Amino acid sequence: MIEVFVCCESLPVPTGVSLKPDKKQDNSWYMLRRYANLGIEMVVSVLIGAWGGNSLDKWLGTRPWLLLLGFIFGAAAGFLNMARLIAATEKNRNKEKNKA
Amino acid sequence: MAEESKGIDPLHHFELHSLFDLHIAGIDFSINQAVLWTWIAGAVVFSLFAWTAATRKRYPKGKQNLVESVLDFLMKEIVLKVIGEEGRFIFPFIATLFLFILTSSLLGLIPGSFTPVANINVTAGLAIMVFVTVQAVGVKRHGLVGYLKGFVPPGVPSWILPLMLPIEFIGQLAKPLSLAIRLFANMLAGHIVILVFLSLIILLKSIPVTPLPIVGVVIMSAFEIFVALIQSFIFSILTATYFAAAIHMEH
Amino acid sequence: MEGMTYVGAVIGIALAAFGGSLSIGWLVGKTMEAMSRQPEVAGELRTTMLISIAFIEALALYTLVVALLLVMTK
Repeated sequence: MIEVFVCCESLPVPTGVSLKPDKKQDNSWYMLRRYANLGIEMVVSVLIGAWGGNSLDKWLGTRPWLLLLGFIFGAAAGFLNMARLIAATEKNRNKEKNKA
Repeated sequence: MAEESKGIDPLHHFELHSLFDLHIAGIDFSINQAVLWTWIAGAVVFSLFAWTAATRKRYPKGKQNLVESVLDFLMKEIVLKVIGEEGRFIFPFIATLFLFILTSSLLGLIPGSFTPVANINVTAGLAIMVFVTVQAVGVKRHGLVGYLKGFVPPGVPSWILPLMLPIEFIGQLAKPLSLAIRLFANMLAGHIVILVFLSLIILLKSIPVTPLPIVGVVIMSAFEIFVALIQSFIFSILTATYFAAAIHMEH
Repeated sequence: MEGMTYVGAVIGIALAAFGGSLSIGWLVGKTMEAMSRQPEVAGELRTTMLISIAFIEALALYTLVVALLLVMTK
């Protein structure tokens, strides 16, 4: 069991790993997973903006202005992420439609 | 506060106690349970995989079958399907994330242990690691200017560009941090439910009722194994989608 | 009066869960109806439904954040 930590020659890739991906399955299930995270993402971006603005306020002594700015930036970031995701989905669907 | 009124505080288990005080240059580097169990989880994953790699055979059996099937699943289902052939180089990172989160949350089910991923600081550390790596991969792939250009939609007036920078920064940081919060909340909630069931035994102090909380604990522990698998899978697959977004950037 | 913060936080969470679950249920039900009526636009309807669910979820999570702030920083 001791020689466990000694082996540091280049770790090999196992033999079964180098398989090709399935081309048949579409990636709509992965899009679904991405959507599942969207709500929490919007809230977290607003929180990051507010927290960052508040800390900058404490540092620079410009209470409440940077907090408000951070709030707006955070909300904008959340909506931008959502808009990107919708655009990507639309593009995917159009591609599939053109293929079919 | 709750300890005085009811005798049991389910959150007490999740408070960090320093096991070994260490202060370097005014920063607290104390070793607490979260650090200890992070190391243990890392050591378990590392020794299992290094041992398997050291004693590998042409025709796998036993633990080599397990390790190969896990890595095969991660490679095919996560990396190749989400990122594609270009994402092969990021496979070790995603596999390590998956195995570390899975191992540490499964180790947390052993009575007397501690779940490092039920602490927001550990998961936020993972998230910041993912954030930095995603940005580094994007910059390496497209160059700094090309990577920044990829964020700007065509036809945007130039005065708006300085405004876009903080917004994009927040947006990019929010993606992994939301994963961190999801993982932490799931782990913490599951363990709190188990602890509440266990504390019911002590609170009720009646032998006829005792089997009910015990059945609850058994069911919840089984459910926690499922949650650990699902959460580590979600964390790694969404990390892979963030890498995919950084690699296949629109121009 | 100190306990009133907890009461406020619990009422907020309860209302958010009530409204959120009601609206998500209604939304999904209506989308299912529309999907069965017009299966050819099911993909678009599903995307719209998921985005709306994300919005509702975000609103409920905002309530969670406010409640947590109330409880932690009283």
